[in-house]
Amino acid sequence: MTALVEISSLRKSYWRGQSEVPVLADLDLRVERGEFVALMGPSGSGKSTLLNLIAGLDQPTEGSLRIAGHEIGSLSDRALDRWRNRSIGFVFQFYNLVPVLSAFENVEVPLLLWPISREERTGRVTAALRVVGLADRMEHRPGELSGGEQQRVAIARALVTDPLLVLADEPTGDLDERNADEVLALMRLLNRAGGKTFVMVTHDPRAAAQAGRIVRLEKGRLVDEAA
Amino acid sequence: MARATLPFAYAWRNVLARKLSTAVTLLCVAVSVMVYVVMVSTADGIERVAVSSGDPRNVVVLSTGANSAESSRLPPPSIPVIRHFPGIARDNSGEPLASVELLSAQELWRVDEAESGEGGRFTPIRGVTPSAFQVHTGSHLVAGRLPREPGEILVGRLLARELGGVGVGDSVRFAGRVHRVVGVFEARGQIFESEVWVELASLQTMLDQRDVSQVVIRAADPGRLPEWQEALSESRRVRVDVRLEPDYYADMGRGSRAFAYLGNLVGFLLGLGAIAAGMNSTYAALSGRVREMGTLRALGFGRGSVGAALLAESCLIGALGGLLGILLALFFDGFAMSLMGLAFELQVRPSSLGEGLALALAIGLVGGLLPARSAARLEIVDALRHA
Amino acid sequence: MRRFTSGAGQLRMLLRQVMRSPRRALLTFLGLVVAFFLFTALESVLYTLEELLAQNASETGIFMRPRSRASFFRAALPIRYVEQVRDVDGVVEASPARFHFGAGVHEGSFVVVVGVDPPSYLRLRPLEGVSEVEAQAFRGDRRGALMGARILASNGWEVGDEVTVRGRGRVPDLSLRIVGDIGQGDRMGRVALAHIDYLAQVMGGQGRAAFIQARVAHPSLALAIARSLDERFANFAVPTRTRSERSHAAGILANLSDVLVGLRTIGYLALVITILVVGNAVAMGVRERTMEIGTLRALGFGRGRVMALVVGEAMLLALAGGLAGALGAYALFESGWIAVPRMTDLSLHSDASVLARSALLSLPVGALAGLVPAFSAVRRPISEALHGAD
Repeated sequence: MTALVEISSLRKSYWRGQSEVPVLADLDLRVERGEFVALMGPSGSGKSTLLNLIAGLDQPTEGSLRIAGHEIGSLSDRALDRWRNRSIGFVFQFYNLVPVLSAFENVEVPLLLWPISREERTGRVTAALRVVGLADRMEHRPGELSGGEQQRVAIARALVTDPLLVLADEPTGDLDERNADEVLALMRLLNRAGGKTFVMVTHDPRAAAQAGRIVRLEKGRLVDEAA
Repeated sequence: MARATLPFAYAWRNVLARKLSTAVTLLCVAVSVMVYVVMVSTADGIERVAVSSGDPRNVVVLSTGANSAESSRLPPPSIPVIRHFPGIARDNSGEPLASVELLSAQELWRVDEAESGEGGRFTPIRGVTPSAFQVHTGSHLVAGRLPREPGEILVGRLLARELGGVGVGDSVRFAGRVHRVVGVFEARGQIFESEVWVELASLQTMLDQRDVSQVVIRAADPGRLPEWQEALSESRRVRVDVRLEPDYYADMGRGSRAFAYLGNLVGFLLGLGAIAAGMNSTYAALSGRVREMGTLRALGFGRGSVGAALLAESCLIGALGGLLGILLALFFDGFAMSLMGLAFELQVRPSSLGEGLALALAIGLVGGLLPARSAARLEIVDALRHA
Repeated sequence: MRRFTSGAGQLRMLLRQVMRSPRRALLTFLGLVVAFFLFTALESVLYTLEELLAQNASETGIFMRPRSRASFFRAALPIRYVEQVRDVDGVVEASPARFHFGAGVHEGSFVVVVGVDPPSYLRLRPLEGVSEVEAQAFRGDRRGALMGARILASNGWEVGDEVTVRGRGRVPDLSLRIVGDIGQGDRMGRVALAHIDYLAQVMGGQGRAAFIQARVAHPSLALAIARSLDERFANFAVPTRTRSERSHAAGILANLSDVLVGLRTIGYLALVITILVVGNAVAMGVRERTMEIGTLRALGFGRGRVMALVVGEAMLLALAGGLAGALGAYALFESGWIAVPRMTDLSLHSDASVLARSALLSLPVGALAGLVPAFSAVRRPISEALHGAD
């Protein structure tokens, strides 16, 4: 069976006027199903760009990026939207919840694009919130939740579609130590017990320590891999 | 610098910084002001025609009980009595200054327009004698000559313009036949300029009517006009109503006030809309700048001065919008319109422009007041921490 | 792909978005209310005017008067023309009319008496509010009159009274016996109907009418019959000019056209400005939620869907404000509180069609307002938008 994420000879650069600014150069990376990979590196190393490429939010300049066997660079915009909705879960540093929607409604958002009944949707949302331990705070709005709770709502939103891959961008960057630990423990549990594949960008070594594998980037290249 | 005031330039730069919002608010204010000024100018245009019409030395003699020339009928025997009433002014050759007139409203078409289908312009047709030009001060031919035979007419300047530049040699149609324009006359913007003048005798034949509508006469001694007016109305030899000519026309202009009321109302409503738009944009300006305001407060500017800066911004936009509005309104100065047979030109008076500008400033002031209060109430610490 | 959605959930999201900044929503709503109130009010004024002119202008009505006349109201048309009009093929009925302008009990009040030939008039224009008994009494009584409800009310007159309509100016007084009232539905509140020959006896001008009205069998005949009548009378002592009631009404409107165009322009101008105001407000909201929109896009909401959400927000606002403003103006005009100065029997009113048109216009107004912000919402690359702020 092929790896979930297969990246080979990936190159990404931006144009600033006439000059090409390389961000990622000649990058190869495989992520197997069920892995928990931490991407580390100083700022400007290209780790966020790599995450965006895996998420299909950005297109590679050259090279191949296959996820579950699909070359995602070749998908149309519309197909990419649909693919993201079905296959990728997102966790952001600042949670990115919709402030006017309740926790329940926030988790429900990606399912609004699914042709399923309201009952089925409600069941999935409730289950996801139960997994993150917030079944009792479903009607609260983000403003009424702590940072850690908000991030757990965001994790529930990432899980509710049962994606192939969850991408987390500095998920603990805005949390205090206790909340960060809670969120990391939750992610680890979901990885170990739930078999979810995680790719997490972080510069926090404590967070990276929870991952099964650490990938270091520097100036757009992989420097080493530590297990 | 205990009570520092922010420089005007601060308000100005901020106005420039949020271009889109500013432009929208500006436009709202400008349109409100323009509509207000144009509507008031419509009223003023009609009123100017009415007020400028008539000579203060003249009286209009109508049949008893007639409110207007349309309902007045003077039988032929009464005409010499009126013409030779003692105290009437006379011209150089000793003839009395009296204009015997028959008035009728007809639908009129240019000769190249088809008469069927759509209606023609309601046009006042005035049957006159050559003395009309002496009695109605300021009226004179600007082109052509006086009518000599039936079918020849004069058109007033505004009517000619209203008809798309009809001139000497062109033809129009009314009362079922074609009439040739032999002259164009002006009358200092008086109501006559939207009329057709024809020979009294030909109009009488056309309408199959011997009676006339009115006689306009000039007093020899304008100083004793009221007494003279009374003497004529109480004369035993004719039963007539006598009215001062300027009053007679001024009454007709009274209906134009409706436009002024409507203008006030519409201006007020549009102004409310502009206030809502302005307030929205000022609030947005505030929320985008909370931290900046906190910083200014920390630097020592008082609550009042950050509020005042925001208010100044709002008023500035109001004023600029107002200027744009009156500029747009100025384009309508002299704009030709017609209303049920009365041709007139919009008159944009400086006072209406002033009122328009006041409206704009009021919009700016009211729209800025609440956001300015919110700005003044900011707590420095909260503001500095604002995302 | 279309079935790929939950409408209710997205609508809920839309509603929440609109109310996200209640103050901004309220202000924008107020702007919309004002603009649609103004638009509907102006359209109602125009509607009242057009309806006033068209109310009696049926498609089969024609209208004959002397070709040249000093005054519209002067009785100069020979009544004997009526017989000849009736004889024309295609003419169903013809009837003469003339006017007496007078005052009621109060000084300065206004009563218009229309002298008619009762049998032919009532055949020509059946009056809803006039019963057969009243009609019979009117036909049988030479001094009898049918009076509009407003005249009765303002003068304290009642059916059965003998009253005097005082002539204005040299017009003599007219004493009438009220044999019936004309109902509200006929919009003839300030009009009284009397016998034309009685008016002639009192006022002089026996055998003359101000105009002759007639009905033809089919609308398509109106023009041709009008023309042939004018040809027939061309060499008579009083040549005629006949036109359809419709074109007569159109003629009056044409003479008001400058004002009508002006008022209509103001109404539409208000709407155009509103598009900008709503667009600006929605754009502010879009700018503030850059990150949120980026998130939605990341979660799989396509460009089209995000644009639809933004346009939907603008349309929702516009519909709410438009409906409220249009309803407000409609209610005000229909309440009859607004009377035309100096013409107290004519109160401005509106119509469901005016209301519906205004309210429906709010949708394109909202759609246009949302368009630019919608484009700007999806213009940024998702990866940039996710990091929020401008």
